[in-house]
Formats: sequence, C-alpha cells, structure tokens
Amino acid sequence: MKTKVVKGYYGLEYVTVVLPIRPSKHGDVIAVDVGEVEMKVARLLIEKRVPLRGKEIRFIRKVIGLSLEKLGADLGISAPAVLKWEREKEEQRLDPINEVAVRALLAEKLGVRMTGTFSALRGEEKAGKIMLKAG
Amino acid sequence: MQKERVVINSLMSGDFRITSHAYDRMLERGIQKSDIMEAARTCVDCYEQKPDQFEVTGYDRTGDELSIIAAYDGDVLVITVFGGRE
Repeated sequence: MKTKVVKGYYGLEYVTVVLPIRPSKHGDVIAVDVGEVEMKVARLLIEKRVPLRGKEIRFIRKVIGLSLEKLGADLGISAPAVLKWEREKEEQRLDPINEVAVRALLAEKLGVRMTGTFSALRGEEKAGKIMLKAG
Repeated sequence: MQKERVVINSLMSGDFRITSHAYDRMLERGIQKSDIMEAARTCVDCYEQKPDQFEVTGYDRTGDELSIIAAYDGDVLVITVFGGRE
C-alpha cells in the first residue's frame, strides 16, 4: 500500500507520521481515521514527556476536545491565560510549575498514567524524535 | 433523509475520510478532525455545489469560519477545506 509521510506533524518538528493511502476518483485518500492518529500522537507526547510549549498544548487540547474555557477552569486560570500560553509562548516552554500541572491534567484526560518526581513530571530537556506508523 | 443532512451528520459524528490534498491543507492551517466536526455542528450554510458534492460552512474550535468541500457516494469524503478569509 502507498504511504504518505508527514514530517513536522501539525508544526511539531520532531514528529513524523506515516499514513497509508488508497486511490479514489477524487485523488489519494488517507486510509485511516485521522482522529485516531491525532489521539495516538497526543498520548505519545505525554508518555514521552516532551517539553510543553504552546503548540503541544493547543494540539492536545483540541484532540481531547477541550475548550480554552474548560482547560482554563480545570487549571484554575482564565481562558485568555491559556490562549496566551498557546500563542505568545508558541516556541517557549512553560514555566516548571505550570508545565507539571498541565502535563498532569492532560495525562489524566488522555488516560495516561503518570508517576514520578517533580523533575520527572516536568519532562525531558528536549523532545526526542517521534515516529508513528499508522494503520 | 436529504443528502445535505446525511453529509452534515457524518461530518459532525466524525464518520468521514479525508483526501491527501485536504489533509495537507489541514496540516498547513492547523485544522484538526475536531475542527471539521465542530464546523459541521455549527453549520451556517450547506449547499450542493455540483452533483453529490457539498460545501459546508461553519466555525472551527477557535471560532474561525471554516468551509469543507465533501463528496457523497454513500460515504462522506472531505475533498478540501478552507477558511473564511481564503
């Protein structure tokens, strides 16, 4: 089966996704549910404890289906504060205390079990490459 | 049931496939599957632009206008997506 290789998946420069494709009269079609692929990548981001920047938070929040308001409420902050993280800190990692709280909350929402010290929950210094072969 | 309704329902429930071209557009613009489902849920316009091909316009999860071109042949296939300012 033919495949489509997506490097820098949704702006996440360390994520590569390989998707099966099949021909149709409208051109090539992605042969898997892209929502399931998004969910797998979101879980990998949390499991591998990648540094959390605005783009990771935005991606995972949308996969879970959380509004800015709901994520903010769960963290005890305002929706504009979450939006500020997602936009103004697009390339900047969250502060340690915020990163631990956000990672723990997103892990809970995704059903990923997280244990460890504060440093472990803070996450890795740098994201390692993630390769997901879907289908 | 009207075809328009079937297409909107399929998009809303996530029961659709996506062309490689549409996926490139989604990746480029940060549109995720949930955005397409939300645009169908908040649909403000839907019409058959050519036989068995529909344009559905609504709002994505950040409140931006999002249009979806979807073909229907028993299953729903998203052919392309574009935003309100494109």
